[in-house]
Order: sequence, then structure tokens, then C-alpha cells
Amino acid sequence: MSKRKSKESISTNGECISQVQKVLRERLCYHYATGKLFGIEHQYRHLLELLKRTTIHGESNSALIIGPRGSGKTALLNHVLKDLMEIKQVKENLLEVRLNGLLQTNDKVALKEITRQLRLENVVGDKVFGSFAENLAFLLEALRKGNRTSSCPVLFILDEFDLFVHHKNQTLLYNLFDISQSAQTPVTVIGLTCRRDILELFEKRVKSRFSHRQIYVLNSFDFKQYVKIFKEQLSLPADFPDETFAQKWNNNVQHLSVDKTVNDVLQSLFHYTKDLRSLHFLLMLAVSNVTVHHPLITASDLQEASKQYRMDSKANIVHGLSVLEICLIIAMKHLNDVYEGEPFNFQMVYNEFQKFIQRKAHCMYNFEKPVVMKAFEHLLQLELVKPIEKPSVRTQREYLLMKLLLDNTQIMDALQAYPNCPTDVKQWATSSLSWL
Amino acid sequence: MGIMNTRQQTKIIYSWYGKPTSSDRKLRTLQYKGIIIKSERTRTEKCIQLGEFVLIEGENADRPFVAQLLDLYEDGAQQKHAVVQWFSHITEIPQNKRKLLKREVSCQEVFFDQVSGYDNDIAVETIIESVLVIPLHPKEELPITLNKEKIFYVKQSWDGKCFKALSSDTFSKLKEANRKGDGVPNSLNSFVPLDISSMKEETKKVARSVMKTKNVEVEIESKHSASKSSLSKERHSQRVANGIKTPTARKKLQLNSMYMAIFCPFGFECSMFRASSFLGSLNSGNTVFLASLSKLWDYLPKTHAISVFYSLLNMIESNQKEDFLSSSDGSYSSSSEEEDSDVLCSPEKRTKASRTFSIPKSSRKPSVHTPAKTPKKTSLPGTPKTPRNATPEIPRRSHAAQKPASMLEEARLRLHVSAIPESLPCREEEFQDIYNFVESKLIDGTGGCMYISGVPGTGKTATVHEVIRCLQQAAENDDVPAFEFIEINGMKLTDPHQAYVQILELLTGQKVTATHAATLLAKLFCTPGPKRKTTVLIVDELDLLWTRKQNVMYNLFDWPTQKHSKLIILAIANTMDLPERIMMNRVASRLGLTRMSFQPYTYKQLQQIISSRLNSVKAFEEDAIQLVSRKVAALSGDARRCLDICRRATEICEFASQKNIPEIVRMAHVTEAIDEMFSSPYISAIRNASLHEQIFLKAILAEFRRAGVEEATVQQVYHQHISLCRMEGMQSPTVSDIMSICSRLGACRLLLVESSNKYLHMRVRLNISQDDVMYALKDE
Repeated sequence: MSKRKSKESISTNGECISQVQKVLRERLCYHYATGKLFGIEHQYRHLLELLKRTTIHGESNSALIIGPRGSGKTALLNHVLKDLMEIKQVKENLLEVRLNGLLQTNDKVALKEITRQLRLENVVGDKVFGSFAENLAFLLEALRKGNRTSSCPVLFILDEFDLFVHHKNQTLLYNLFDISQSAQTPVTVIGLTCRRDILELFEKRVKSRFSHRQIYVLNSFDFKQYVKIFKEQLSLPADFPDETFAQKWNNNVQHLSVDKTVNDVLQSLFHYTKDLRSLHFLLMLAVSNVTVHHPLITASDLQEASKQYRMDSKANIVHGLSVLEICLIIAMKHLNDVYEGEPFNFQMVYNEFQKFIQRKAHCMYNFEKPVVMKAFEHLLQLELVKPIEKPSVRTQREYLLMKLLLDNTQIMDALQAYPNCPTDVKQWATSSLSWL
Repeated sequence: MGIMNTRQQTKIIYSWYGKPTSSDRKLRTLQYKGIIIKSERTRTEKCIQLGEFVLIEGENADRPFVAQLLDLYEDGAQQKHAVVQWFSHITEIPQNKRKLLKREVSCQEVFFDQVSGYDNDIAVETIIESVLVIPLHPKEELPITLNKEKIFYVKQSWDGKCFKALSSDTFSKLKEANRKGDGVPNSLNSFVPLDISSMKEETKKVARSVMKTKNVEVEIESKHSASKSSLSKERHSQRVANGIKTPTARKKLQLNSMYMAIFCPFGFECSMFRASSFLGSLNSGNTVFLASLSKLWDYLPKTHAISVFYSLLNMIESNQKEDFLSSSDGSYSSSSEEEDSDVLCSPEKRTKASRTFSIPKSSRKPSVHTPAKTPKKTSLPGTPKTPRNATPEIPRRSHAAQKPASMLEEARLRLHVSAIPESLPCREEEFQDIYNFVESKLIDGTGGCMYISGVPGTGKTATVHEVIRCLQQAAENDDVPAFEFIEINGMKLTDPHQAYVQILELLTGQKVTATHAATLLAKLFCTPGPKRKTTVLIVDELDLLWTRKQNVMYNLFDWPTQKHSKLIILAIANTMDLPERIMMNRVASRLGLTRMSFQPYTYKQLQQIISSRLNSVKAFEEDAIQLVSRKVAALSGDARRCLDICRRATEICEFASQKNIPEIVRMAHVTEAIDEMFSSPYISAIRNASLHEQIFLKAILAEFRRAGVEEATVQQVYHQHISLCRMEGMQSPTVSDIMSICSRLGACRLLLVESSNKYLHMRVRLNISQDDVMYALKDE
């Protein structure tokens, strides 16, 4: 009886866990407009009013949302749109066109995409035919025909806005801004960018037509709020099916938020970056550790995740190298020290390595030159070493000038962690003159 | 349609008919009494003599002008000229004047043109073909005919202001001209014998059209003058007899005969088709017609008659099945092999062509702004193409836009840049200058260019549009001659050469490729000719039309200098020295020296602009307006900026006063709006950066100070960063952390960084001054 009971509890637990994983992963990955916005209430109101006026009064506008990566620009916009769509009058009256600078790499593609999304009459099925000039003329004609009171307002959302600036003549931007400043179809152009110097990139006529509304999204919260965000992101929603488990989970989260180690982890991440996306990533790693046998997140989970997340990628590669390759890196380090960061070539590295071998012949096997060359080329492929000029036919491989892409501290740290490193090599690493 | 199309493709030779009738030594002109138009492709020759009516090629190939030839001469430069009397089609008469007529006008009716503005000296090359213009008394009904493209009726004259009945003098002259040219009453007699005689001469050349060679011409004349030949007399008496029997049919028959007389110069195959199409409508008088047709049958060589009847059959078949026709059916099939295939298939093809053509013509709107799609471009079957008649339109909104409820909303609406103010304050002088320039050119009927420059937002385009609006108003009141207004914008073109395409489309509604459009436009503007209204062309953002060879600019500014172009160009650009800077000498020279520059607005002007826009709405404190104006005038003098700030200030004001208390915009609101728009975002960005990002900036400063160079590699900064961390007793970050911090700062352009593949050796510079960074970091 008791056995069956425990089995049952495990199965329900299993369901619970997969539910938790689903809810939290979705929240962390898709950046849904859930929960509260932190520190950008003012910006939220500004944007909401702006879009409301566009849809209800048919007023044309243009605005830029500027903020560093991961500061919640898209989240802000999605939030505003979600709230706007709840108004019936808005929902039926707004046409939305979303463009992304990474996808619409030139105006031709962008125009076709706009026409497609607006479903103008020259769209056949899902395709837009006709030349660039025809499409532009058609779209402009369509927008010109409209007027403030009777046409459906169009909302243009340009993600990665700074990339549109590099299009030829800034034709698209000029036209969008020009429409927003003339008595045509009401449009609102919202640009999202992380570049603060965006206004300087505009051509002067484009700049004049832009309304200079800039909405700055800065991560202006302090650590207390950061912990609050952490708590909110990890808490299960009230409509979670298994209430008792949700209660337990939320209590645990509350407990974690005051834990010393967790606070240390968060503090170090907060000092490193205020980008919420990296917090999400950290939580994602921690949440992935949750299993039936380990149903609640612990402080060590977070610590582990933080270690994993903030690992030094280059130093990590060094851990997997062979002793010969490590020796070559140490030789390069010494060359760097001697020549003060001047570039070196393979022959110099080989000579340095030979010096070491001659002194300590007993502990290292003396490899043939081609073998050493092979090891060196492996380092080249791993991009731990980088040639400063393109390899050409004329220069021999041995004499190609190189630079080491590792810092001394990284090398020393990696050596500390390197398993089964010969003592002589370690000694050699600390000082090139150790034999004296 | 068919005829006009081929005109564009095949070479047509114009030569004088006969010897010069008189010559003028002083002007070195030679006058002629007729012209022969020879088409190389169809190998037909047509002779048009003085007094005849002709179609003249206009800017739109689908809408030729009607005119009467008054004089033909060759000038000293061997150019062939014609002097014409114009007739206006209803579509050429301004929309607002059409209602003066108080009646519906059929597309066949034209008006005797007495408008003085048009040049009546044209190049002979623009003549297409001859037509018939028949004067009618005002009360007379328009006779029903089929050949709508070839016969026109004139009842009234048009002098640009009102319609008048034709004076008896003109009426008789026109009547006379008809008699002289084609001879309406005589044609009936002359037509059939002529055709037959010529056919008899050239029975072999079946497919060829009737050649109106010189001896034929003589023949006609002899028959005209005498009309005593037994054959023609017999025909005549028969017709008269028929006419007496059925008076209703007679009228139609007369028309028919008249009509046949016209098409006879155009060739046989054409005429057969016309006859057949005519027959189609002639259901009531069918028997009579068929009777007369049977006579025709006797005279024509069998092969031709068969093809005639084949086409007739197509038309009648459905309505009437007569034994006579069915019997001819058999004979047709037996002899079909002998026929030239061209003749055989042409009637049907042509009916289709003429049908498709006539539909858009009747429905075409005269407005040049509707981008009418020409029907000649047919999409290939199988390949999906852009729907030809797609109308560019944005869906309508389902709820009406809300009216402004409060005073601030009203003010905001009025302050929007798009709101068209009642008047344009502060640009009166410029307005007057441009107005005078365009007006004088309009009145003189000449062309010219004007270059208008000024920094963005100084009202260049707005002023020019205002001028055009006023001139259009004046044209409606008949103060200035009517003109056509078109506009292109360099920024709205994908390529400078697209300018040609747009201009041509706006002028004529044709859609062609850029090179073709260029030749068509050159022809339009450079050949003396077809009566045209003056065109006013606005070229906005002129500098975008720059190409390496500058041929677009060159052409644009060359056209107005042509004698007959009647083109006025108002070119708008930002820089004052554009002609000197980017234009070649030959382009700059053609642009001329008529220039105007719009100075940035002063604060007083900006103040006036805002006040005039707000008009009676009291939403702003007087000082607030002044603050905005002074601020903007000091920065750029851009009116758009000024209006945007005011608009933002109303929003801020609205935010601030939530409790429905009507408030007006005060200094504080304006200051906040200005700060929002002009404040440097960098300081706040640094203050809101994470701790390590701030330390990284400090490390950069330290490294700069150490090295004495304003550039450092990441590795150097990294070492500084570590030592700074040690000093503050913090955990030092890894190299990966530093790299991502660096790229984050680079993404917001606080730093300028090289491409990241150099990793530690990537060089870093500050994008803001060191002082700003220190200031931003110190306060905390």
C-alpha cells in the first residue's frame, strides 16, 4: 500500500516537475510580456499614450526606443501593444508592420515585406511581384491616398533600427518619416536600437523629419529590485495546477532570495551586467537541474550555474591541450615577456622550446620539428594563436608572424587547473630562468 | 490602337505632295498643298491635303488631338511644319468648365478651339492620319455611328472661358472643308468605282492595301468633278431609290458611305473590318444594306468579296441567317486557300483589339494623378504577375477617428507638421518671388528653371506647394492660362533614371521603361507641336538625381530651354552651392541663375508660425512659445523641430494635470520637452551601467593617462581593470567577462571598438570626452 502511494506521489511529482519546467522555460526563453516592468513605468506611459493617439485620433508620430541590449526595449513595446489590444477600438483599427534590420537588409526587401504585411492589392498569395521602383511607387501611392480620419493607422516597428540607417540614401526611412509628417495615412514609426549615437547617423533631411522623440530604456534598478526580479521570474504563477507544490516552490524561492550564497551569486552577476537576459540565462541553467529526485532549486544549483555561465572560454580550451601544446604556449608567453608583446614566428617558438628541452631532457621527449609544427598548427586552428597578416605563398609557414591571444594570467590559471602537468613544465612557466 | 502602336515602331516617311505652291523669300519658306505619309511597314501611302482634318499625336498616345490643316510649309532648316486649327476634346477642357455645357457630351464631339494660348505651328511628323469633322447645328442630335475614332462632330466653339455656338462663317467653312477633302455627298459615288478600279489593276496584291498612287488620285478627281461616269451614276440613282423607300435606313446608309470614303485611304483590309463592324449594328436596316451590299459583290473580284463577307458573317451570324449568307459560306471555304492569311485572320483579331482598347478609353479619367494602367501590357499566361489593376489603398478604419476633445488635443492637432495652415506666415517674400516667376512664364507660354535651396524644415516645399495652389486657383478664375502640375521627389525614387518614368506616368499615364520614357519625354518637350498646356514640374531633393554622367539633371534642365517645351521647373535642394559643387558646367549653366535660398527661421518668425497655427486656441503661455522659438532658432531654425517640441510639451502638460483641470502649457513643460529632445544620453547611460562596466571605463581612463595615447588594446585595459578591482577588494573578472563588457559598451557606442576577431589585441577608444566620463563616474 505504502509502496503504491509513494509511486503515485512520484508520478504526480513528475507531472509537476515537467509543468514547472515548461512554465519557467517559456517565461525565460520567450520574454513574454508577463509580470511587471521594472523602472520603466514612465516610458511605458509615454509609449502607450503615443500609440493610443495614433490609433484613436489618427495622429502620425515617430519615436525611437533606445537602450542597451537586454534592457527590455522589445518587452516594453510588447507590453504596450498587449495592453493596447485590449481596447476594442484599437484592436480593429491598427495595422502592424514589423521589420528587422537583420532580415530586411536593403530597402528592396523591406518594401516587399511591408507590402506583404499590409496585404495591399499587388500581393499575390504570399508573394509580391514587380520591380523595386514599382513597389515603392505603389506603396507610396497607397499611403498618400489615405487621410487622417478615414484610413486605418499603420504601426511600423523597426527592430535593429540602426541597420536601416545604412541603406542606400536612407530611402525607406525618409519616406516613412515623411509620411509621418504629412497629411497622409496616419503612421507611427517605432524604431528599436541600442545605439546612442543613432541621431548622428541620420541624413539631415531624414533627421529633420524625425520627431526626435527618444524613449530611453535604461536598467536603472538597484540590487534590491534585482533580487525582486529574480524572485518574480522564478516564482510559479497562481494558476499553477498543483497548488501545494506551487506553494512549496514559491516558499523555497523566497528562502533562496535571502540566502547568502545566492545573494553573492546574484551580486556578482549584477556587478558584471544589469542585462536581464543574462539573469534569465543563469536561471535557465539552474531550472534545467530540477528533476523528480531534486524537485527544488538549491543555492548550490545557482552557484554551479553561475560558474558554468561565467567561465573563461579561452582558458577552458587550454585545459584540453596536450603537454606539448602547453609547452609551446609557455614558450610563447616567455617570448611575449622578452619582446614586450611583439609578434613572433614558429621558428622562435621552436627555439625557445628547444632550449627548455635541452635543459630538462629527462622529463620531456624531444619531438621532431614536424610534430611540433603540427601541434603549433592545432593551436592556430583553436585560435589561441593568430597570424597578424594573411598567410601568403611567398612566406614560409615557419616565419609567419603570430600573436598569442591569451593573457599571462589566463595561462597561469589554466596551468593550475591542468591535470597531471609535469612539475618542470610548471616551473618553467613561472620563470624562464628557473634553471639558473 | 493598332495604327498608333505601329507608328511607334515603324519608320514613317513624310514627304510633300506636289510642288511648292508658293514661296516666301524673306522667311525662306516653301508652301505646299498636301503631304504624303508613307509607312514602311504596311507600305501604305496616304495623302492629306490642306483643309483636311487630322489626328495629331499628343503626349498620350491613346488620346490624339484633332485639328484641321490650314497651312503646310517647309522652313529654311528643311523642317516640315504645319499650321493647324485645333479642336478640343471634352477631356481637354478643365473639369470645372465642363459643367458650363449643361449636357452630356459624347466622346465623338469636339469643340472648335479658340483658346489663344496654344501654339498652332506644329511639326508635320506629329500628324497621325486624317479624320472627319462634321459641323452640326446646336439643336441637331449626334448621328449614331460606329467608327468613333474617325469621325468627330463639332457643334460649339470653346475659347477657354465659355462655349459658343459656331458662327455661321466657321460653320460653312467647316462644311466646305469636308466637301473639299473627302466630299461627303460625292463619296458614295466615287467610293465603289474607285475601289474596284484600283483592285482591278492590282488583283494580285490581295493583301496589300489600296495604294493611293498619283494616277488614282487623278482618277478620283476626274470622277469627283464629273460624277457622270455611267457606273457612279447608276449607283447613285440606286441609293436614292433605296433612300426614298426607307427613310430611316437612309440616314444610316449615308453615314456608312461617308464612312467608307474615309477608310478607303487606309487600305482595304482595314475597310473590310470597318464595314463588318458597321454592319453589326445595322440590324434594323439590314435588308436594305444587304441589298446594296449585293451590288458591291458584283463589282469586287471574288476573292476580296469573300473575305469581306467572311467578316460580315461573323457579325451577323447570331442575328440573322439568310440564305444569301449561308450560300456564301460555302464559297468562302472553297477559296480560303488562295487568301492571304493576313487578310483572313485580321478581322477577328482587330475586333478584339478595338474592343479592348475602347473600354479603357471611355472610362479613363482625365486626372493625371490616377496611375492608369495601359491595357497594352498583357501578362504572360502561366506566370503570376502583379495584378495590373491593383489599386494602391490602405484599408479603411472601422471606427471613425476621434475628434479632439480638449483644448490641448486641439492644439496638438494644429501643431502637427502635417496640418496644413491657412496661410504660410514669414515666407511672403519668397512666396511672391516664386509666384511671379511661375506666373510670368505661364503667361508668356515659355519655360524656365528656378533653383530653391535652404536647410531642412525652412518651408521650401510648403511654399512651392502654396504657390501652385494659388496658381491653380487663379487658373480656375482664368487669371492665368491653365497648366499641368506634376511633382517628383528624388528621395522617393529608387534610381535617378526612374525620374523619367514618373514624369511620363504623371503626364500621360503611360508606364514604360526608363530609357523609353526618356526618349518619349525628349520627343514631347523638344518637338514643336502638339498643343500642350504648360507643365510645372517640381523636383524635390534634386541632389539625389545626381548620376555620374549627370544626364538626368542635364535633360531636366535642358528641356525648359527648348523653344516649344513649355516646361517650368522648380528644383528644390538643401545646399545653396549645389550647382557649383556637384553639377558639371553644362548642367549648371542650363539651370540658370534664377535662384532663391530660404534662410533658417529666426526666433520671431518661429514664434509667429506657432501663434498662427494655434490661431485662437489658447493652449500656450506666451513665454513658453518664445522659449521654444529661441531655443530652436539658436540650434537649427527648423520649423519641424519647433512644432514637435510644442507638441511634446502639450503631452507633458497633459500628463502633469491629470485631474481634468484645463491647464495651459507653461515654461516648465516646454523646458522638459526640450531637455528630453536635446539632452545627451551618454551621461545617464554611464550612470546606469553595471559596476564592472563603470570600472572598465575607469580602467580605460587610467590606461589613457598611463600611455598618453587616446587608444588602448583590451589587454592593456584588462590589466588596469584587474588592478582597480584589487584596490577596491573585488573579485576580478575573467577575460571573457571583460570581452563581453567591452562589446556591450561598444554596442551602445560609448566605446569605439575594432572588429572582435583580434580578441585581446582589439583597440578601444572612447566615443565621448574623458571629462564627460569622469563627470559621470565621479558623482556616485
